[in-house]
Amino acid sequence: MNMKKQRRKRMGVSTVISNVLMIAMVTAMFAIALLWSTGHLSALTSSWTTQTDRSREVIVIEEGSYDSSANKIILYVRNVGLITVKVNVAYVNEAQASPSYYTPTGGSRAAELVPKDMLMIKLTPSGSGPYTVTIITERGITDQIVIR
Amino acid sequence: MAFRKNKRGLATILGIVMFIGIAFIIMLTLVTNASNNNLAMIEAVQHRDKRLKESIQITSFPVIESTTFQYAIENTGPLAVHIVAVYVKSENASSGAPIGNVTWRATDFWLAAGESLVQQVDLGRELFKHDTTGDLVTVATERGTQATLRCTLATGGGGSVGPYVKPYSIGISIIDTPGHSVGTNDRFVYYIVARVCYDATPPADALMSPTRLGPDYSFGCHRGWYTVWAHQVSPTTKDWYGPQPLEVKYDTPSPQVTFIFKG
Repeated sequence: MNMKKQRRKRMGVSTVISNVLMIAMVTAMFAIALLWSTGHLSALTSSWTTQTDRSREVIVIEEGSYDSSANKIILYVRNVGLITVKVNVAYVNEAQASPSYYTPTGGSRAAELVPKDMLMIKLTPSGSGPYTVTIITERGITDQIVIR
Repeated sequence: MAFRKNKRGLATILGIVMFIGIAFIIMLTLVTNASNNNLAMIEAVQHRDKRLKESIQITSFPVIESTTFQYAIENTGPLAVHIVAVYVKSENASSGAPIGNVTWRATDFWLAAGESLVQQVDLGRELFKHDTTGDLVTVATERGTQATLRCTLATGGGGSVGPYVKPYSIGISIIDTPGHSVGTNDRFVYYIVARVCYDATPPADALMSPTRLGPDYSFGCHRGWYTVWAHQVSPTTKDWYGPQPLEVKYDTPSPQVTFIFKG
């Protein structure tokens, strides 16, 4: 009778493991729910995606020139990466310049570039040459050229 | 009593199912996100590696005597490259374009590893040759690799597209016949297209030589079928010669096409 009572009170190994597992899973879920509710989870996945996108983004200034008659710097930029890019900032000798976007043949176009596509950018420099021109995309990828 | 002990209520089962379901969805979302990012990262690394392996070189400007210029491009890397653009930048006011002027032309051809090719560009002016301020020609690939060469007197020397560009060449001659001799003012333009063609005049994609004083010319080529033409353009625009199809094979690597001067 005593033996029987003792056996009844003891738990099996599987019950202990399942309880431990259950507690671990609940804790993990709670942690995930907490991260999600505070916005950390989306920030984390967003940061992964941004890092990945940045590694897939490559732009190249294929050629650049200065048109002295119009006082314009002309750049030919190609997207040689794997995703669409948007060129949105340009610097000429460390001063910000407002870029205008054209097709290589001269028609106006948007700043977004799909992979393999190219655009012509026109900038108005403020000083005299040589010009160090830097263009920067929305995700912070840059390329630079020196125009003499 | 023992039977009741083992029985679970509906709420418990629902709770367990919901618990497992939510855990599964959360894990699936995280794993999918991480896996997609990893795959994208691997693709980016492969793309970067390809860009690093790519290598091209402009070897010469074989013929630059007319407004249409030619340049010889060689793929010196281990991967096939897609040539997508060519730029010509003027650095001398005597070049016929303002200093800094850039002429852009889209191109669309592939070069296998080790392959060379001569391409033709209608520049609208003659390519300017100078040792320090000659035109700068830049060729760009789809992956952003570039090759630039200044057109100096050495690189831009005229003459035929020799076997240094392509392994074989097709020579074209116009020979005298009794009563008809090629005079000092007789000038010709030669055409070649890389296929069999029976048109009386060359198609638009045919490669054209500059105007030649002499009756001899040669085009660099690979093995395969070609068709050639010649056209007398001076003293007055006169006769067409050809079409003359021919095959360049291992045993006839540099064949000669001879037209008889019509006078």
